[in-house]
Amino acid sequence: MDTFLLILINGCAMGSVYALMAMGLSTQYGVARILNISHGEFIVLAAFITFVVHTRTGIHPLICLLIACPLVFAISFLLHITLFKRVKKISPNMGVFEGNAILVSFGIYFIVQNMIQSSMGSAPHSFPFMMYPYTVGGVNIAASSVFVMVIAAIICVAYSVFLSQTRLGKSIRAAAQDPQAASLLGVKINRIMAICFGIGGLLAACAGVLITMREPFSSVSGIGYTTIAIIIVVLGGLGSVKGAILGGFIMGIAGYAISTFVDSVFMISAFYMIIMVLLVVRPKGLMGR
Amino acid sequence: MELVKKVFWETKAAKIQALAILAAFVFMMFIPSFSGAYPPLFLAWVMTYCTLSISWTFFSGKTGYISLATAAFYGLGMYLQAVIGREFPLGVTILLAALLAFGVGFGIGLITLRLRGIYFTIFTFGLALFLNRFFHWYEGVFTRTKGRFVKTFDNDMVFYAVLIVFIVTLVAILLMNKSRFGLSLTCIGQNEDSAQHIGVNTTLTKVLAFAISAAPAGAVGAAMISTVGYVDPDLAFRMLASFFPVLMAIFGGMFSTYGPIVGAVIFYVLQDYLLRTTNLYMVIFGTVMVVVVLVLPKGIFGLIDSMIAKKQRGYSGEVIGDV
Amino acid sequence: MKKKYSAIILAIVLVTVLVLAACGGGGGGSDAPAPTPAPAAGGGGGGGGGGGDLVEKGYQAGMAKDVITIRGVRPQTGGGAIFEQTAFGPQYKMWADMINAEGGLYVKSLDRQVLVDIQTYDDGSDMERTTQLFEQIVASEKPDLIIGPESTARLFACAPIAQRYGYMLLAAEGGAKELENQFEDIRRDYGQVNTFAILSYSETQVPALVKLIDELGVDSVYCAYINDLHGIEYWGATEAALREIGVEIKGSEPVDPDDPQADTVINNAKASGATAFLGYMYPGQSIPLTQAAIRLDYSPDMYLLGPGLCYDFFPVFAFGDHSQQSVTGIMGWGAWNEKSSASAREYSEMFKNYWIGKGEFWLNADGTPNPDGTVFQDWWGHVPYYAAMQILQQAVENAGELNEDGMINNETLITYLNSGATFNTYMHPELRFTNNILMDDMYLGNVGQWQNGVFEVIDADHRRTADPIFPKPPWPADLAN
Repeated sequence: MDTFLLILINGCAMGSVYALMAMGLSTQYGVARILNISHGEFIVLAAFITFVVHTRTGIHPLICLLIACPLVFAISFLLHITLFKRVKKISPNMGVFEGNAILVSFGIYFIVQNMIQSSMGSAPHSFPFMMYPYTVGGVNIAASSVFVMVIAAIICVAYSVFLSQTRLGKSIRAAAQDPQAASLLGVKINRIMAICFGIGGLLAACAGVLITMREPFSSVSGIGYTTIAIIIVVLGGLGSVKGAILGGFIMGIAGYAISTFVDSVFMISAFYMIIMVLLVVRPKGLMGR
Repeated sequence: MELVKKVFWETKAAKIQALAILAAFVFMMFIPSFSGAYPPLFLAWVMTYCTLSISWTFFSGKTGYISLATAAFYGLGMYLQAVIGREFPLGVTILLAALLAFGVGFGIGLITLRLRGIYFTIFTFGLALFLNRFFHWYEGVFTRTKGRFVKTFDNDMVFYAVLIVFIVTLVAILLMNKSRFGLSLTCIGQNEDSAQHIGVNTTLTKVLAFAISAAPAGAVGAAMISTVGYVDPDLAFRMLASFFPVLMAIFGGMFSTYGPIVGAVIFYVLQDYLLRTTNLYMVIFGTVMVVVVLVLPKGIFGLIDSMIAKKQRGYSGEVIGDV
Repeated sequence: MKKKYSAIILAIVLVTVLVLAACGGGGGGSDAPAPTPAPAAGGGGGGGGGGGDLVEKGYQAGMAKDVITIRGVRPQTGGGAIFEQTAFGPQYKMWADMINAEGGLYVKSLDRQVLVDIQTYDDGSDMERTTQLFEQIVASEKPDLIIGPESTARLFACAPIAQRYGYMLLAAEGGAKELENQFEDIRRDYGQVNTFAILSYSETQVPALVKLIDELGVDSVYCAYINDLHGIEYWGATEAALREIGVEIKGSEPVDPDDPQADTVINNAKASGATAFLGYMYPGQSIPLTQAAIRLDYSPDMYLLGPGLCYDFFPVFAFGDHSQQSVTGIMGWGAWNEKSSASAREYSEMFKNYWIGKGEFWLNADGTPNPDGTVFQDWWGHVPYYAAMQILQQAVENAGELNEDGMINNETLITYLNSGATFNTYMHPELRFTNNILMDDMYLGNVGQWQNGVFEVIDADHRRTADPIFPKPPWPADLAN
């Protein structure tokens, strides 16, 4: 029983961060149609911002959200209106655009990773944060994991509310469902795409800030985050935000279960197997349209 | 036979093409006899990426399904060489590696080519990463090691092997382009639905083309790993090997069979130069990548072509060896 | 119809020119250091880059051999860059700088000093590139001497290449049991082995640990090992040795390098109730694992971590802790410190004095790189890595001669090293290779333990610099904020 409780809680804690990572990627793909390979690099960027600000000034890492999020949002927004808009212009159709966008984002991944590496080195970085256990139902779990889970859950809920309640959120959903119809209804589609790409970056920044509180990271860990996010996005359904949240939690729990009962080394292989089977059986993903 | 005649004999252009390939082949055959020990190795690496790039273009360039599985086939070839390389001569292993890659490619094609473009890309992207993790797990838990030693062969021998694989791949692709098979593939790329209407068996064509494009990757993998002498999962299945052929093809120009070759050569030489001179290799490389997609959508080959077209009026835009 | 071919012809010309340029020019210095004795021929340039002014100096002195070129392939970007930045990189850079300041490297047959031009190429942490560039160096550029590549896997790939082209390869990072088998194969084919391994590995370290476990009376262990060459080899050796002395093995599990699942591993280890926890892994895994151990309040009597713990900056990266109190009691591989010997102390001071203010990597208080920051030692590898450069130097001093091309004859150096010659290094005053590896008595220690900011050697023999702290003290309370 204890084992199951451990898997459930730890899995949810990990899953909440996975969900954040995946939500960003999903938003970017859902509207802007960009499968952003450099997503993980922005997570790392935000993590380093948090690290530097926290260790130099001593302010609570959570407050770094206020610094990292706008910054990464701005970078992503600018990337879209400068690079990806042009890629869209030169691509004859959506299929070609998706291909080109992957390549451009791969180039960005190279550039950003190297810039972070040359300024911060390649060593793992972390700082102490809530280094004590939290006992629930008779089992010990890391207090920081619980804290991160709560914050991540709040962000997930807030983003869902934003999408369903605000005017901007509604136009994003409209643009995701049918870009042409949305533009006929007066949604400025290019602007919405850029904003969505920016929001993807913002969510990546949230994930980055939260990651610093629970595990070490380095300038080369970005691609690992990206692949996890891609796996989850495919599981949940490309472009579906709810799917990303659900997928994140499923993968978090599955990951803990696999590493407890089989081998932690087998975990990522198992993820890919799940995803490959899913792609064949139900390419739309769990919540895809 | 008809086809060979059409591609290499019937027109003046075809004859020149045949002659050029033959001349290049013969010239290359003699390179090791007068060069030092290193140029054949370097050329073998260049030809490896040329092979990866043209075989990638044969499938993905035509159909528009972007495959990122090159690293998977390339790495499988490497592992085959590591496992059976000591028992068989190099030629046999290369052939078996091509067959293995063909078989795996066929299987993967069967289960994935029903998918829409982006899902296919993700699946193939995942395939190489999956194999990486899987081999890590398998080797660690069952053979209790990480890497394997590979039998090494003389650089000249590897050079000849890769040269033959490259020329065979090139000739085969040129032939297939003009065949019914190649034409139906182009049809699929233009409009899959209408291709189906005019009686093309789209699924079989796609799957077969994907498997064919996988075979050369396996072959060069098996050949080249014997110059490294050691293989581990991180060397065999790495993302760069999936992305490089794509970038090389786009860089050179995908609309011609020769474009990817030009792209691969420039890319590899540029990379070699950057690695030896700066430590900003990745930044420059990333920038080149972005700029190429933005500024040279038709690649270097397209750039040269349009420069010539500007000078000569009434240019049709047609090039030999076109896709 | 002509226009159709123009593009192809242009492309062919482009391709040919590029390939020829890369093949021929790739060497750079391949044709430059001409064997001609005439001083005028000396200006040819010693392989680009920083060679220029050195060549100039040599030329002015009117010497035929004006510069000794040393080349290598080292990862300056990508995942492996950290080793170049912190492990062997600082050693060869410091050595070259210091030897040039003294007037150069003495060559026996010339009976004078020659300036050194050391340069490394980046492989972008891509092993396919490592071998290609390495072969380019030894086959085309043909420098006087080469230095070792980063990591054991690259050593496996580069050792046969060095053998084929007759170069002496003094390995830096990297060592494994498997290397002995490879050396055996090479010896069978070639008669002698050109590669010399410097760093200690499981062969000497595991017996030392087992001896220590026996001495401390540890009755049960739990091991989490990285699913990699290092972890598998070390755990394999430890498991067998522990069975022999009857220590109970409560469990073991492999850990994924990219996703260590720290909480699960720590929970499993805790549930097993073992006295000792052995974490055979790199900082990428051992830091999250140790953080999880603190967060989950897991503090076994003996806690051991793999490579990386031996660095001064481990507590900084792991906990942002500069006092180094947080790691007190943690054991790890190594080991040497300033108390090990007078020469070790001398080396340590030399290293600090040299790098203070000029490192590309050294750190600020918050862990960000800063050339003016603190100089950190690696209490496992730094002395052996520097010994590699000392051996290189002394081999040339005692057996260096030029071959007919006017380059350092590597063949005589290899024969010299294989003949049982001894070298006076900071690591051991009479360092000697036995079958191309170093025997246990050449090292300053095998197992270390952090005690109040010092990485003490705790081997159960004369090399011990302090008694081991056992059981490990609980994790410091002030880490939890």
